[in-house]
Amino acid sequence: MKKKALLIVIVLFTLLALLSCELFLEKPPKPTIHALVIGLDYKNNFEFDDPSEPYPDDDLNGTINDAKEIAAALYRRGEEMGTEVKVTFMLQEGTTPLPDTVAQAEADYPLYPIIENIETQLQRINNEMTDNDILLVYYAGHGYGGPTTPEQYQGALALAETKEAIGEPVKVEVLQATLATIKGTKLLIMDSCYSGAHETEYPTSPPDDDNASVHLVYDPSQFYLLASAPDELSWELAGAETHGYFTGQVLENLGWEHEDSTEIEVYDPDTGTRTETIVGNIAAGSEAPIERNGTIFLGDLFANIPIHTASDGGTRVNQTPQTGNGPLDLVLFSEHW
Amino acid sequence: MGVVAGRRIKRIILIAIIALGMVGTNLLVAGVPSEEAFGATVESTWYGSIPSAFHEDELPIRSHLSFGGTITPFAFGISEAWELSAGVTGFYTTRSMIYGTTVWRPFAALGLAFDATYHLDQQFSITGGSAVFLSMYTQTREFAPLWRLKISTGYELLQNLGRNRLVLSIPVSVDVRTDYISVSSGIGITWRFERKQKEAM
Repeated sequence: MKKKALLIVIVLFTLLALLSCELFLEKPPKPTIHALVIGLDYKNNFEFDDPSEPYPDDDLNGTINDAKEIAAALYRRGEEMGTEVKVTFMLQEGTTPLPDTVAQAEADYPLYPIIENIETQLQRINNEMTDNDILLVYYAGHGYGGPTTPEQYQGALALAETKEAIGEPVKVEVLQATLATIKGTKLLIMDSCYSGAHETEYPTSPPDDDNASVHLVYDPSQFYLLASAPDELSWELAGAETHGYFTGQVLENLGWEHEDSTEIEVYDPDTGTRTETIVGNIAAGSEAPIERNGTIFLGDLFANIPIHTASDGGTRVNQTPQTGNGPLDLVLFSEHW
Repeated sequence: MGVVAGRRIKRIILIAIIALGMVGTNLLVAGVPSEEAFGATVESTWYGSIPSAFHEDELPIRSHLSFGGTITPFAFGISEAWELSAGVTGFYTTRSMIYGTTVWRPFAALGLAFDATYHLDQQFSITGGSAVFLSMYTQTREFAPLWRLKISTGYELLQNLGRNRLVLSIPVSVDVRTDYISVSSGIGITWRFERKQKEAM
C-alpha cells in the first residue's frame, strides 16, 4: 500500500513538472530589438528673449557620445549574441539651426527630436514590430525636476526646440501614454536628471483592493533602467571620452571598449537604411561582463551599476540607478532564444 | 478570451495535481518521535511561480529551482506519536527558465519555521508546518513578506545510527505573497541528533 502510494506521488510530481516546465512548451519566435535612440546636446538653443544670442548654459557634452555608443554597443552585442538590433537615431547634435516651426521640423527633419517626430517614429516602429519583439527607447538629455519644478513636470523631458516652440517640457504621462500603444515588450533607458519619475509603481496586491489606481498605470510589458531616483540629478563625467556616468556603466557592462570603430546600419527616412561609423567597439567573440550562460538580463545590468556619489556645490549627493520592482525581469539578449 | 480561459483551466489542473500530491503524501506516515533533539535539513525543489492575472504572463506557471535549509535547535516529543519543532529556515530560488523576453527574478528568503510531525511506525512520518519569511529579490534588493505552508513525508533511511537519525523527505509547499502564489516540490534530507530518546512503540 505504502509503495503504491509512493509511486502515485512520484508519478504525479513528474507529471506536474512535465506539464509546467518551459522546456516542454513551444519556443516563441526570436525577438528583434527596435532601438529608438534619442540624444540632445542643446547646443543649438538661443536666449529666450533674443533668438540671435546662443544659450550655452544648458549644453551637455556627453549625451551625443552616450546615444551613439549605446546604439553601437546594442547593435554589436546583438550581432555577437544572434539578435537583430534595428537602430533609429533621433539626435539634436551641435549647432544645427533651429527649424522655424514644428510643421517644418516634421516635414523636413523627421528625425529631429521633438515629441511630434518621436510619436511618428514610434508608430512606424510599432507597425514593423511583432508581439515578440522588444522596443528599446534610450534618452540622453535634460530632465526637469527638483523642489522648484511643479509636480506635473517632475521627470519631464527637455526635447529639441523650434523657433515657435521653445522648451516645452514633455511630461512623464505623455511618454507613458505613447509607449502604452506599442505592442511587444518595452524597455525605457534614460540617462537624465530625475529620470526615476518615469518608473510606475508595482502593485503589491491584486487589483480588487484599494490600490486600483496603481493597477491602472502598471504595465507588465514595460521595463525600466533609469539613471537616478526621482529627486536626484544625473551626472556627466569629463574625460577623454565624455559620457554620462550611468551610460558609461551600461556600456562597460555590455563589453564596450573605446577602441577602433563600429559600422552600424541605422534607419534613414529617405533611403530606408544607411551606414554610420561610431568610434568604439565590442571585440568579436567577446562576452559581456554581465553575461550569464549566453544571456543578458536587465536585472543584472541594473545590479552592476553602482550608486554614484558626486559633489553638487560642495555637497555630496548620490545618483542611484532605478529599475522596476516586482518579480518580472527582461531578457535583453539570449543565445537560447 | 479563449486564451485566458485556457490558462485558467491549466492553472486549475496544476493546482489539482498538487493537491492530489499532498493527499498522496498523507498515505505515507509514521516513525518514532524524539524526546528532545536538534538537527538540520537541506532541500532541493522545483519551484513554480503562478502569475496573477495582472502580470499578464503568457505561461500559467514559471519554473525555478530552489535550494534551502533549516536549522532546528528545538524538537520535542509531546506524545507517543507527535513531535513539535521550530527553527531558522532559508532558501534561494534561481530565476525562472527563459521563455520569450521575460523571466521571473531570483530571490532569497530567511525566516522562522514551526513544524508538527506525526510518526506512524519505525520508518514513516508526515510533517505539516508553516514558516514566515522575509524575501528579497537579489537583483533589486526589494523586500517582501512571504508565508509558507508545507507538508512533507519522511522516510528514515538508516537504522542503528544510535542517537543520529537520517530522514529522506518529499516536501510540498505553497508560498503565499501579497501579489502571487507559488508552489514547490522536491526532495530533502534531515539529520537529527537525539539529546534524549523515546522507546520505540
